[in-house]
Formats: sequence, C-alpha cells, structure tokens
Amino acid sequence: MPETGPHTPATARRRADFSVQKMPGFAAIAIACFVILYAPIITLVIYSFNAGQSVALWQGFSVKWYYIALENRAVQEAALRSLIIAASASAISSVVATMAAIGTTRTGAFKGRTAIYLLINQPLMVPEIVTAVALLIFFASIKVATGYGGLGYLIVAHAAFCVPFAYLPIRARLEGMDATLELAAADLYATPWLAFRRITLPLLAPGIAAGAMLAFVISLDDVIITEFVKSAGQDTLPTYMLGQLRRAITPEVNAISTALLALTLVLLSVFFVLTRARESRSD
Amino acid sequence: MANGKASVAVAARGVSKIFGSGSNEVRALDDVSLDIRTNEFFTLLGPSGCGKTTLLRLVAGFESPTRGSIFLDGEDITAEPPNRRPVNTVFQSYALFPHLTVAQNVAFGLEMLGRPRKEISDTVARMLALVRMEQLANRATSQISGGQQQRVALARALAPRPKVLLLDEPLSALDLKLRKEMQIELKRLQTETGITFIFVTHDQEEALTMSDRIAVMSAGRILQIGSPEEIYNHPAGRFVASFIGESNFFEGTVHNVRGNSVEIRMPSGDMVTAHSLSGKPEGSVTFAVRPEHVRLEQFGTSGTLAATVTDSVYFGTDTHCHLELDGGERLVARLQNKVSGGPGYEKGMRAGVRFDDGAAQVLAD
Ligand SMILES: Nc1ncnc2c1ncn2[C@@H]1O[C@H](COP(=O)(O)OP(=O)(O)OP(=O)(O)O)[C@@H](O)[C@H]1O
Ligand SMILES: [Mg+2]
Repeated sequence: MPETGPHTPATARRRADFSVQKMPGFAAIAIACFVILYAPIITLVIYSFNAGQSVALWQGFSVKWYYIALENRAVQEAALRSLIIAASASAISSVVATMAAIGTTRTGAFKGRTAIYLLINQPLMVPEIVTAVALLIFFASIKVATGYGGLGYLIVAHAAFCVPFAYLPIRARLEGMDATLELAAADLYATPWLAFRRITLPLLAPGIAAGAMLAFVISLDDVIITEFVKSAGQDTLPTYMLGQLRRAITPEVNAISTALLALTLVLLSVFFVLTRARESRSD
Repeated sequence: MANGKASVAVAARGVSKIFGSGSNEVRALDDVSLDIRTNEFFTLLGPSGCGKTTLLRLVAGFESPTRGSIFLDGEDITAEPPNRRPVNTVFQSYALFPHLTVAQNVAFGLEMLGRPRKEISDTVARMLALVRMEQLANRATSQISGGQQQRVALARALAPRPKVLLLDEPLSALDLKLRKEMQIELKRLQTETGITFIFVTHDQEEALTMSDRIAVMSAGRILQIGSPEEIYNHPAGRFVASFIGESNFFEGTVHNVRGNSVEIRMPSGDMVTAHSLSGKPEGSVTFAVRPEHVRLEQFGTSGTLAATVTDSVYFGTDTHCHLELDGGERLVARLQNKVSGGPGYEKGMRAGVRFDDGAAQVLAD
C-alpha cells in the first residue's frame, strides 16, 4: 500500500494529459465539424423564411414560400407520390425484412448463411448508380412486354433498396429476444403460426415499426434510383426539386426542403424512441 | 407406491442424442433407456453437462433423438412436435411472456387448446390459488420477484393439466431460504395434482429429499435408478457412491459369496462382510462405506481393524475423525457429538474401526 500510494496521483495526471479533450486543437476541430455539418442546413432553413426572391440575400421574415409551395400543383402531386411510394416501399420492405430476420436468426447455423446476409445487404454494397442503371434497363424490357407504366416500378425499386435498412433493427430486436419464449409457446400447445402471432410478433413490433420508419425515411429521400426509374410525370419531391434547381432557384425549394427535414426528424425521433424502448425492455 | 405393476408414464428406449458432427461431435445421450411411472416424482441427477437437459428436451419435443424412441402412456411420440405433446415444461429461466400479465400467462396454454372462456378463467383462478398468487393476477411479469415468477411458471405449466410436468433446475435461481420453501411447495403440488413430475437437478440433497425415484446420470449415460434410500445405501458404482454423499473406498479380494453377502479379505488380512447389489463378484473388488456408518472402538477389540487417528475436526453436530488403517488405507469416520463433548479420539491415538452391519457396499466398477 505505501508502495503504490505515491504513484497514484502521477498515473492519474498522466491519464488526464492523454485525454483527447485536452489535446491542442480539439475544440477548434470540433467546432469546425459542427459548422460544416450544420451551418448549410441552418442557412437553408433560415432562407426558407425569406420575404424576397433570393436564397442568399435576406429581405425580411415571411412564410409566403410555404404558401406558394403548398399551392403549387406540381409540388402537391410530387409530395403525394413521394408519400405513396415511401409508405408502400416501407410496408413491403418491412414484411420482407421481418421474414428475412426470422429466417436468419431462428434457424440455427446453416450453409450459405453468409451468402444470405450479403444478398440481403446488396443495396448497401452495390453502388446506387449501378443499381439504378440496371433497374432502368430491366424495367424498360418489362414495360415493353407488359405495357404497364404506373408507380409500381418505383415502389418495387424503393422496396428493394429499403430492405437492408428495415432488416437491421428487426434483426437486432430478434437477437435480443429470448428464444425460449417461442419454445414455451410451443410447449403450451401453440402451433407455429399462433406462437408467431401471439408471442414473437407482439414482442418484435417495436423493431418492425423502427425498421418501417427507417425504410420510409430512406425512400422519401432517394434521388438517383428514382431519377432513372421514373417515367415522365412521375416526379417525387426530391426529383422535382432537382428539376427546379436547373431553372430559377427561389426560397420555395428551401421551404420544401425544410418541410422534408422536419418530417424526417420526427420519424427519426420516433425511431430512436422505439429502439431505446427495446434496450430498456430487454433487461 | 413403487410396485412393479404401476403404469409407465414416460419411457425412453435406446435413446441417443449426438450434437454436431465430425470432430465437434458431442454425444449428449448415449443409449438411454428408462421407465418413469405414473404419478411419481422422478429426478434426473448428475453433474453439469451429463445430458439431463437434453433428455428433458427430448421428452418435451424440442429436440429429436438421433436414435431411439420416446413413449408417453405407451404411445410412440418421438415424431410429435412439442405443441402436440400433453407435456409441459417449467423452464430454468421461467420464460414468462413479458407482454402478458400473470393471469394471461397462466391462461395461455388453455387458450391454445381452445377451451371455453369460462373454464379458462376458473382454471386460472384455481391455479393462481394453488401457487398462492391470487393477489398478483393482473401484475406484469416484470413486476414480481424471482420466487413469484417461479410460481407463475409452475401455474402456467400445470394449468392445462399435462400428463407429465418437466422441471429443469427450477430452483437454481433462488436463494437458499426460498429454495427450501419451494422444495416443500413442489412436493405438495405434486401430491395434490397427482401429475408425474420429471425434475432435473445437480443438487444431491434436493434429489434425496424430494424424489420417489432418482436416475443418476454421468456423461450421457444412466448409471443407476432407484429410490433415494437404495441410491444412498446401495450405490452401484464408484461414481454414484462419491457423487451422492461421501464415501470411503477400500480394495479387497472376494473370499466367499453367500447370496447378497460377500466376505472380502483386505490386504491387511482382515475380513469384512459387504453387501452386493447384483451378480457374483469375484477376484479383487472395491467396496464403499459411508463415514457415518463407521464406528470407533477400543484399540484391539476383536473384529475391528487397527487404525491410527491422523486428524479430528469438530463440526458441531458431529466430529470427523480422519484415520489410517494399519494396512495403509485412509478413511473418515463421522461420529455424533454428545452434550458431554466429542467422541474423545485425538490425533495420534490408536483405535479399532468397525463398519455397521450392511454398511460396506461392493461396487460394480
Ligand atoms: N444444442 C447443442 N449443441 C451442441 N452441444 C450441445 C447442445 N446442447 C447440449 N450440448 C452438449 O451436450 C452435453 C449435455 O448437455 P446438457 O445441457 O443436456 O447438460 P446438463 O446435464 O443439462 O448440464 P447442466 O447441469 O450444466 O445444465 C453437453 O456436453 C453440452 O455441451
Ligand atoms: Mg441443464
């Protein structure tokens, strides 16, 4: 004890010296990062309330660009289309992701499991532009064969790239779930379907909701694949905005972006609440 | 109760279970056959990893045997899924459904069986009363104590009136006091419901106090099946003799066999009469004697083995006397203490060792 006594303060001081927060430039780098990340967004939000025509010159506060955006038929249609696609893609991808998650966590080790993971996560690994071109060509031939030209193509494309995003939270929740509960249900005379309906599904619900939410946000935001796959007159909000930027830029684009940002923030907050609920429930 | 005519609830015939393959192969059960009688409290006892849980899971239907068959009331159920076996399990982790209340947990099995609503609520009330949990019927399962969760798990498994109840170390998560209470409670429930219990434990005392019969397992095999007295007084082999209670082991040569009684000559030349469970032992054998069946007498008394006290340890109710026979064998004698004090054998003293009649037991291995 007397041996180690004198050493302790020195060791403690040395550890404090090595703390990242004490390193020179830490504060400056941190501030720079925050500015680069958030200053553009803050500017965008501020100028959505600009009374003038410019996105760079402040001419007083107004919410008129929100009115203008709301009354613009093209914006209304694009927003509705975005919501329809996002909702459908989110629904389809969370069903597929739930089945995939159960298949990969509740079957024990099987051959080709890694291959399955790669397959499910393909959209995360293949460059989006490649997928976009591939889908364009693939859907074009289907279009020729069937003559169908509706929103179905966009919905299918979005559902496909949303699957890995829906899959991750669902799988995390399933892995955190005690598999004995399902055995207990079977032991108490539940058929496999009833065990799923009465035990697995209710316990998995927050995970599925979180996955669906994430998929919705990802779909809402997509530009590249949508731009390639859409037919004429099938603009979503992001592709509509892209089109606008090629012409005159007004704070109307800022207003739409801010609205999109607000919606995304709300959905992501719900997502975090849902995943947090999992952590506190599982112990 | 345990007569040969009693009907068999669960039977295993030549059951083996192998996990993995090739070099990772684990033989969890190796050619196990046994009969568990209707209405009996049957215990699987053995050290960790000996295959107790595996055997229970095979009866429940969570695993299927690599070889062999499982029968319930004489019917082959080997291929039946768990939800079609009238057998319920109390899991070691309880596995209560966290999104359901206590009462909903207990009702689950009956609902799955499609029983009428009235019958379900009556049975749930009766089961909760049986385990003394009426007050907490509408609690969430996360808001009750470990002992209470244990009771709910029991009520849930008993509610559908299974033919057999499987219990996998249900008491191991409880503290000592609660554990003793639940041991008595379990025994009461088994008598009141008349359901066959298959109980898994690695606690020998628990097995001895609660069971009608015990199967001692080791490394995937059943070594001996018998009543607690049979297992304790007449262990079949060295493993059983040392796993259940303590034993002194001695070597000797068979001199004479008369029925179950065997005369054994010890290396020192002394003769000891031992009991043999089966067969006709011959040549050199091992026999076991429980420390409490060893008595010490005056050194030199005829018919006793000459020994020296090497140590004497006071334990309150008794004193453990460590001895060395003149032939070199070491043994422990457990001697009852009196109000007047210990047995009075101190380190270095000479004594005569005598085994109680029938205390020496010939072992099969
Ligand atoms: N699913 C499995 N995969 C591979 N090996 C297994 C599996 N289940 C059990 N085993 C092995 O089978 C053997 C018996 O296991 P089991 O769980 O039946 O033992 P146990 O007697 O219940 O032990 P404990 O007292 O520790 O619960 C062990 O060696 C174990 O490692
Ligand atoms: Mg076990």
